[in-house]
Amino acid sequence: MDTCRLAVEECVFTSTAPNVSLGNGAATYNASRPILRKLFIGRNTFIGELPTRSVARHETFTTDAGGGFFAGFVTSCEQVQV
Amino acid sequence: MAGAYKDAYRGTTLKSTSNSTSVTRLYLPVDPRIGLLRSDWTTAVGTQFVAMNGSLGGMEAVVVAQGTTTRKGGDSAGRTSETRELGSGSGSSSFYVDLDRLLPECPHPAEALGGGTAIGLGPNRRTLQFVGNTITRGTVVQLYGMAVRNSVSQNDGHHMSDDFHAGHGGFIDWGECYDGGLQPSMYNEFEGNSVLNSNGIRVATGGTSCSSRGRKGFDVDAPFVRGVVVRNTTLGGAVVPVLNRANKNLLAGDAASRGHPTRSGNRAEPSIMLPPTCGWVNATGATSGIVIEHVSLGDCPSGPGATGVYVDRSEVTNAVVRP
Repeated sequence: MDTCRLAVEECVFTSTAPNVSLGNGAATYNASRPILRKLFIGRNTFIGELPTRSVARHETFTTDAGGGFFAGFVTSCEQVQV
Repeated sequence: MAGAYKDAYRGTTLKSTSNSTSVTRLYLPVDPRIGLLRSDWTTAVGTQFVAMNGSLGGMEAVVVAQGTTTRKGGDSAGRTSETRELGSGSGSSSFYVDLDRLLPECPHPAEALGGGTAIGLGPNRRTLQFVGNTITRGTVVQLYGMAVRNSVSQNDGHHMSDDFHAGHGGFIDWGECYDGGLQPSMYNEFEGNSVLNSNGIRVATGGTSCSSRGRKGFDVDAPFVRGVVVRNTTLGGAVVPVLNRANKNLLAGDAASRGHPTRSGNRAEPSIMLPPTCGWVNATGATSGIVIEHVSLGDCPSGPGATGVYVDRSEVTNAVVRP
């Protein structure tokens, strides 16, 4: 099976940004899809309460209702290639 | 921990994929006593298998789903969702999952998944590196629900709280029975973070058993957070917690008056102003194997709140604290 890495670096996320998601990958990992082995979120700036996103567990970088940040949601490597 | 899991595992077969990666196949029953969700977590994030035994032991691997059923849904706000169900569809008494590798620490999973082991499927949230970020005027960065082998390091947080999320600001590592399944936090690291005018770093469990979270009959009374290292943390500035009924994990009561957080799950009356503190690195709830080292206090307000570290020894086991 394939594996891949995903990195989000030096981005600025603000409360006015339309979203903080890199994609809504609806992919279940299987033998034909890559498994994301490493997710790196580094040197970014998050300012203010980030906008609420849709169903949290289906998002990539997602916020909760109060504007927090759930670190660790990952997307399909089909949608963001690094 | 309940011992109802000995029959959860029926055997393994090793299967090779095109590039000869070993995959371990686990046969699992559909049993509400086991923290398995065939759906909900098999979506964008992928699925992760976890097994917990004892107070510290744990194993995990990525699930490679072979055969899924897709379900689409949504809510009244127009938000859509898509979930996939592992296995051969609803109604089956058992199904199987393939793991991307042999379970670490145990070459023969049949021996590991005997009685007394809690197993679960959850979102594949692992090996994240959240490093060198700046967060200001927000609320919280949190590993929520399942989180395994992640690193949150060298980040700068400023004013990560507000009156809505008082007590929630800063960084949090959650582990709990959440959304119907077992979602522990295992082997995460918080290294070299600076958390100013915020609430600090919190290692927390949202409950002490799955039964308390609506999973009747699934009474895993085990630490949901285990193996966490919080090292070289800098706290500073002032935090003025304002308790709010919207926040169910609060500083409250007598403990708060001493500048200590209570165990999670407590509620408090709204709009209670507390003395300013410097924030904490704290561990509460069913947690085990916590190492907290080297907490530096910067420009803190005077008073009992500026303690820096708090560990609820009544619930936290195997904790090492070197402030």
